[in-house]
Amino acid sequence: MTNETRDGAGTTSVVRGSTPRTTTTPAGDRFLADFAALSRANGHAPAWLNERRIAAAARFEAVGLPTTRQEAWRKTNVQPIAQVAFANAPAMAADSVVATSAAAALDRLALLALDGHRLVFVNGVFDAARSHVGALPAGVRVGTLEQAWREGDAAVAAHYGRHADGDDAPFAAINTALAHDGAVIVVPDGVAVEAPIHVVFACAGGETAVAHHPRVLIVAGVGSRVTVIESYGGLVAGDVYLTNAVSEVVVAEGAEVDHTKRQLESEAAFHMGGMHVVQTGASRYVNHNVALGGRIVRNEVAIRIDASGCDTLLHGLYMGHGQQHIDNHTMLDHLKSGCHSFELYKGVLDGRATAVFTGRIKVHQDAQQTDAVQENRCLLLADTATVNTQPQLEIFADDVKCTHGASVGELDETQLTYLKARGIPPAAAHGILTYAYANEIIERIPIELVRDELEGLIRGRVRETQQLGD
Amino acid sequence: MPAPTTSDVVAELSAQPYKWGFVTDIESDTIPPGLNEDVIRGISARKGEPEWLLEWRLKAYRHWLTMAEPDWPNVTWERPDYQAISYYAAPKNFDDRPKSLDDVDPKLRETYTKLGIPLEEQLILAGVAVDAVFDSVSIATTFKDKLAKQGILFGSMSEAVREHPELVRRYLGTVVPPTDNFFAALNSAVFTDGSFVYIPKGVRCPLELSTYFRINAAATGQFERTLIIAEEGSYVSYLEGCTAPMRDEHQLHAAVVELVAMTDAEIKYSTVQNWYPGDAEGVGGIYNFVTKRGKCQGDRSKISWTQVETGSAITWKYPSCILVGDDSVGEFYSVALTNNHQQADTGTKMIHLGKRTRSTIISKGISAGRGQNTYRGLVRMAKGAEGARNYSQCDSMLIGDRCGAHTFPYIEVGNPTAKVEHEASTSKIGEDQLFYCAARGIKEEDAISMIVNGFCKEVFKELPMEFAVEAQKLLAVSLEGSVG
Repeated sequence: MTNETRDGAGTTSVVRGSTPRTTTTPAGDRFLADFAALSRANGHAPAWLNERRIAAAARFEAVGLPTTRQEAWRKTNVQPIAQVAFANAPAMAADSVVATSAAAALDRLALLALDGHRLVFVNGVFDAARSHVGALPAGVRVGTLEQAWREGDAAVAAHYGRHADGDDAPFAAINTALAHDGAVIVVPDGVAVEAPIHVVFACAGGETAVAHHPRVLIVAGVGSRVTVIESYGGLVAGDVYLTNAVSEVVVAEGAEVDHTKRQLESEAAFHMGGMHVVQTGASRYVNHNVALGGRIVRNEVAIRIDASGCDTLLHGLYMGHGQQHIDNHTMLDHLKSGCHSFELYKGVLDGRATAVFTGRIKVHQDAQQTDAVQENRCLLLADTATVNTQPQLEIFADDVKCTHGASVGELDETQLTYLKARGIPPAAAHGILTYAYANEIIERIPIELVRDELEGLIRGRVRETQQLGD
Repeated sequence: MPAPTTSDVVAELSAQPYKWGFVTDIESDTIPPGLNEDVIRGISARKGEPEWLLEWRLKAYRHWLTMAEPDWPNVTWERPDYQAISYYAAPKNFDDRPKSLDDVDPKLRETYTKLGIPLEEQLILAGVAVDAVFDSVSIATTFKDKLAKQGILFGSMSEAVREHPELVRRYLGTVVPPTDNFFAALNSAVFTDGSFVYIPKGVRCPLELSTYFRINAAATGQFERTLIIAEEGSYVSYLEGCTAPMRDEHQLHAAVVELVAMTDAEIKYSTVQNWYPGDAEGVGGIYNFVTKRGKCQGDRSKISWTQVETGSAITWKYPSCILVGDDSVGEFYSVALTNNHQQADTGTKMIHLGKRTRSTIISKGISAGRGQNTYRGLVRMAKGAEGARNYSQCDSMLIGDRCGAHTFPYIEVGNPTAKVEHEASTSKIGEDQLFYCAARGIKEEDAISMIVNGFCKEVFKELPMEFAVEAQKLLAVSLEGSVG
């Protein structure tokens, strides 16, 4: 409840968005310079795309990078990002950045053993060699945005940049202004894509800090079904770079979308991610959001539930150690009646890590018979770790059932005693319980290979904690 | 016979006029509207204050000039014109103050009778000492001698400034600094009166101390300042109750309440607030922007806030506890009801600094008509809050489909041994509950009243007996409109 910025006696609050940026930052200036350069070079983009890019750049120029004086960014300071003039990563070609040592890291991130379709981007550039798109039902598009733009896909023109770009979303605006490629998945009415689609965004920084702006658009038609995994990661440990990702998902009547985000960035990297979902018909959308990497991380998951009879499930796991700062911002906008949403976010914090959770459920007046459950639980493993959590309910309809809960604390004493009584050493008992705590989220991911790989990573984290604790 | 539907019932919600609206005609010695350093000097001079207090006021005023009204609360309101407010009003016959109840201006006593607060009856039957604040000057203080025998000081702030300046100077502004927020700064600059309570070491106050605040003179803001100090091992229960007469324009009330509890001391602060909420269209009504904060200074000290908020156009306050002493305890029990166009943004802050500190938050919000009810609270576990515990429960009930209920808890944990639990739920009165009552011949109106009272029971049981009765009555009256 800090006071907002004041500018003197008696004056009213500053009107945001209509005035030029009050502060300029090295990062912000560089983004705008990149945009200017990109606009000059961009000959063949369709007119609508150029318009949306120009509008986004203008929006960003008006608001600038956020500061902790803004309520939504009160606990996440992006100054470390603002002070770096990130080079625009796409300037480098994929082949030249993937050195042999990094190639193995890229293969791990890309989960080559996963049976399905795969789109790989390195520093924002499509890596055709590592990508693989198998046989698809008729009419399904799994490919690059660049190709879709070139071919004039109507679904892309209808939805691209239509769901992510709010007035108060500076990072999404930067992405729209600068994204020059990305992944697009369009599933026509009544079609089910059985094999999972894996979209991989890798970044290799090297000497200069680079920024890449991954972009994903998923359009699931009436009665369609699709499973998508997004993976983000650094290829060289300790690389400083910025991932500024935006995903837009449109879920039509009767569609089922299962959407996983696997965030394994370098622990020196910055990750600003936004997932913007709209459910336009009675449909089911499931989001699994796993954040293990990154130095400063922000995940925004915003769902507009714009039809009656929707099911929406959000599962999140964030594990921070060292100096990591992980901020999860979720918004469930219940606009129509008779919808059910369930949200469970769990955090495990060690070292000097800090975590922020802001979960908002807004139930509009027409959203009668909404049943919304939200739960945020955090486990603190070290004295120096910090948690800030803000579960929020905004209810404008009377016939609803909404609950939210938050708890922060240590491992359960009785569970520890139970294990110790059975001869399990304290450190191992801690490990077992921490692993079980985190695994409650992982086990909900439908793809076994993805689950196994994440479980392995969590086990590694737990082991590291145990060793430090011994 | 067809039973009235819920919407019928809700439609009648707005039909209930404010029952206790009236203006007592008493001439006031009022400083003309406006705010500047001369006005502050005028207030200070009229109250015969020492130089340090005037300086303190001026410092707060100068800081206030650099501040802007906060815009984060979840309320919409018309910004008051601070230059249109008169900052001082005292009943004209101030100089010949009544020495006993019999000397009290009959018109004032009539006012209290209208309010349903028969002063004598309360004194005799309930054993309550009443320091009645009528507008800005205390006019009747009772049982003072009885209390004084135990060394308890209970009176108006103005008196305390004159008679115990050292105590006032030591504690004033230590819990709510004059620079704390916009309205606290304004209050510090222009506060006119309020209550002062001092409980010496080891004394258990034998009476429930009570003050009835009342805004009367039109267009007079009330800037109450209350300070309660409980020395080591002492106990005090303080009651604050408010109602206000009918009025057409918004009135600002920006009080500051400071509590200090030393080692093993306990302060229980209960509020029943029923100020004029504005008419059914949302015209008029009181702006209740209050800063209330208690400091559990000593080990094992305890501060408990209980509030029943049914009035005011806008209620905006966060009675808070700063838990400094080890093993100290903070509690917050709240019922907030918004009807018609009322808005409430209320909650608490529990700042855990000491080891094994504990806090409990129970908040019940009821929204009816077009009322908007927001719970906003902060639980902070500082690094040193070893083994601290918090439990929060915020429940909202919606009556009608034009109202809103919002919950914005802030939880900040910096110590792994601290445990914080927060639960919130929003619901409406269940059709099955109503059906159950109807099947047993209970009228819908009674059923709703019964269910709402049950919903608030956890809070009501924290109130002192005589207040609990009044609170239930108030809730029934406030709901009466909403359920026909």
